[in-house]
Amino acid sequence: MSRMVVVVCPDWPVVAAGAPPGAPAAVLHANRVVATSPAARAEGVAVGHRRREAQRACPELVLLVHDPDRDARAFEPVLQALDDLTHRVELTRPGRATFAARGPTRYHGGEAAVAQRAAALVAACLGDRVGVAGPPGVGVADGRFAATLAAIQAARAGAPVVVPVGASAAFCAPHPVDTLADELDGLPATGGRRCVELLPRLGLRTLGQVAALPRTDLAGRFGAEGARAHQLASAGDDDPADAHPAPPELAVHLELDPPAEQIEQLAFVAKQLADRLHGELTSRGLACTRVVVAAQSEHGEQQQRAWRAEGALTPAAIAERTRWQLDGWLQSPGAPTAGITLLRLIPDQVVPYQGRQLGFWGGQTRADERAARGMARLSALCGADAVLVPEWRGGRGPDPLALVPAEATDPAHRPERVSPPPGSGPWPGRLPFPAPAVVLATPEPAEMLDASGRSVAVSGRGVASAPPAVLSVAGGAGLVVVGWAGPWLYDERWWDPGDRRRRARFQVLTDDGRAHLLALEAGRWWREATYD
Amino acid sequence: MAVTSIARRGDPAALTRATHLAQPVAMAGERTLAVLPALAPLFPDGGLRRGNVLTVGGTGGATSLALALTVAAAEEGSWVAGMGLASLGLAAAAGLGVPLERLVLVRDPGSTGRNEVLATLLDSFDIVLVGAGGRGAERTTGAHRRLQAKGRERSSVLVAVGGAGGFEPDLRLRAEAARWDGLEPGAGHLQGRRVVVEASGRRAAMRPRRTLLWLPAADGTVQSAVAPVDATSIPPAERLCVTYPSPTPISDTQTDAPAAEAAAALAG
Repeated sequence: MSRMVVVVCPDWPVVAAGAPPGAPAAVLHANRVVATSPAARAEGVAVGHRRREAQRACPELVLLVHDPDRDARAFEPVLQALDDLTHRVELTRPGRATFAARGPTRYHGGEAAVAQRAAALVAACLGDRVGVAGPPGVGVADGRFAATLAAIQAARAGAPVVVPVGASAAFCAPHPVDTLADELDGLPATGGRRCVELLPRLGLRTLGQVAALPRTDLAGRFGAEGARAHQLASAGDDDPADAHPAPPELAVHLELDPPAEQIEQLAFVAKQLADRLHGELTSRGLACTRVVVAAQSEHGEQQQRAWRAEGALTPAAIAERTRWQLDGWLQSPGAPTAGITLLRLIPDQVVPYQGRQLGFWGGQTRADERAARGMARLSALCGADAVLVPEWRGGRGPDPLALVPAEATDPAHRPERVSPPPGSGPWPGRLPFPAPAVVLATPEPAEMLDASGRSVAVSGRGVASAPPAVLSVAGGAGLVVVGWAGPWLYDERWWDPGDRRRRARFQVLTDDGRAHLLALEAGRWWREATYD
Repeated sequence: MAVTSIARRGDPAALTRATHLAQPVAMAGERTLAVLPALAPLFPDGGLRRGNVLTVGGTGGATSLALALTVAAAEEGSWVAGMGLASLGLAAAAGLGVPLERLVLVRDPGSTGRNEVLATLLDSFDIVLVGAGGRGAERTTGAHRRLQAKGRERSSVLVAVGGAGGFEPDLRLRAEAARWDGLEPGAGHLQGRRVVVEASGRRAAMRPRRTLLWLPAADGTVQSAVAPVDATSIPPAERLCVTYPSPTPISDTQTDAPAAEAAAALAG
């Protein structure tokens, strides 16, 4: 197994977004935090928090918008700086670069020297952005995963970490299991992340404990993800067991005449090429996990990068990465002086294509996929705020559930989110079951009169002044009240004089067979809900 | 046949098309979506026929009835989408039994984008609920007919709640004569409601069917309020005596049961 050098720029999305150095900053996507700066983490903001939770933890948090294109564009100068050391830099995502250690080691005399040089080059390229999230970390070890862990540790320590030959398994052992989450995320089956979440609950908290188990046991319990987790935890082979180099004739290329200079043209071409490559591969029953994207300008300037993903790369993913790479090249200091004339996609490593298996027991069904596609289209059509799903909130009002934008929720967690969390309170004093089917977002004004025509009031002890006789809603005709119940009294936030709300709720049945939920607040009646 | 030549060419997409052509016609069971047993007497097919358009109206709980229609299908895995149902009570939906993780609600985009949104919904979801929102008496236009055709093509069920909204329904459901239980003057609370639901429509549903339902029952679910006919326990005079404000009595579903029992007794 070859020695790999990994360079990690910690919290890269925050750095690329241009956060001020030393300030607490967070990058948000669909109302959730995806990256934080060290200052924000010190204040208690974590990945996965909603925007309001993050702002509550740190009021002066700088909020930035998630933009993967910008992250990739900003990483291109760093890669160009690393070109000084090696020509085959491999990327999984912006912020992390990997390359083989053998060549540069021989040239610079030693792995420590290579690591120091890489750290110096990247730090020089970042300049004063180093203050945003800390210095870059460089790690050298057997295999990509161990080198990544070493690099993350180096970023924290401030100096490169070189793990001696053969000591990678021992180095990985004390690290916690959730470091596997990133690696297993891209696997096509549904259980990738679930495996990582389940392992600590089974008592396996460190990678050493996972590696100590027999591989067959993990494979039997979790399937392919379990086998891969064991492979990574014991710092075994980098590549999935069934990966092999691709036959050279599978490369696709496209000549552009006239040369393309705009990124939009290139993006369109990239999509076509990626689809063609995917077609070629699937017709042979293959999918690629590593692809080299090469571009050449009219004046002969070349740029080549290798992209790698844990699972198979979809055509959309390949097209996206091509676009990032070209966009970065066109906007970096080393930009080509002429338009791009040749674009090549060369699959480097392929695995057997498993297609997308529709789940048999649970998991994703065809209806789930269809609905997910529909929701994505609707979000694009009407905006992300217009597509809503229910979520449990709790409370004593007529509806303890609320609607949230669908994009902000994780489909895998939706079943837990719609029911009350275990151990949540019984909410004494809430309205009895069954719940009303129509709950107005803004209550309508109403009039409730007793037999003598006076408005019904509720005393301080919670006793209605007189039985209600006539109800008129929103200025409509008066309806005869044939049954009523209540009042249910609510004194909310009584400790806050500005925010205090005192309400009395009544259930009222009118002679047309309809039942309404009415609330009396500050002497005025409102219709809150109808039992439709 | 042509299938082998396609296989030789090695084009997976063409092979998929060929298998679709060679497949047998869809079975009848796949053409209906399940409904709750309490609602089954209303449907001539015993379930929601895919591609149909339904309207749900009446004063006795149109929203609850529309939600109740989706419960059984959603539990089996179908997704339900709602448009223009801004004031839907989600706790009531959960109480009726709708699995909320397969419910998506879309804000009404106004008259400009509504048809496009409805077309997308019919494309991607098995059951689409549309709130009338004041457009109940709209005229049927070409756009409505196109949407209905799309629903038939994609095998999705369109349910217009609270008014036809311009659609020409295959089945009309009305909930009337609601009677709530549990409310005493100034005491108790609303516990359960019995409604008479009448279904009428075109073709096989031409003859109106009626049933009596708890919508909702005391536990929030939908139950049939038609007591199972037990010839031995209850004296005959009181057996089918149920009173409603509406003049027309309960028909078919109740009078058929003793006849079927008699036939079974004769046969066995």
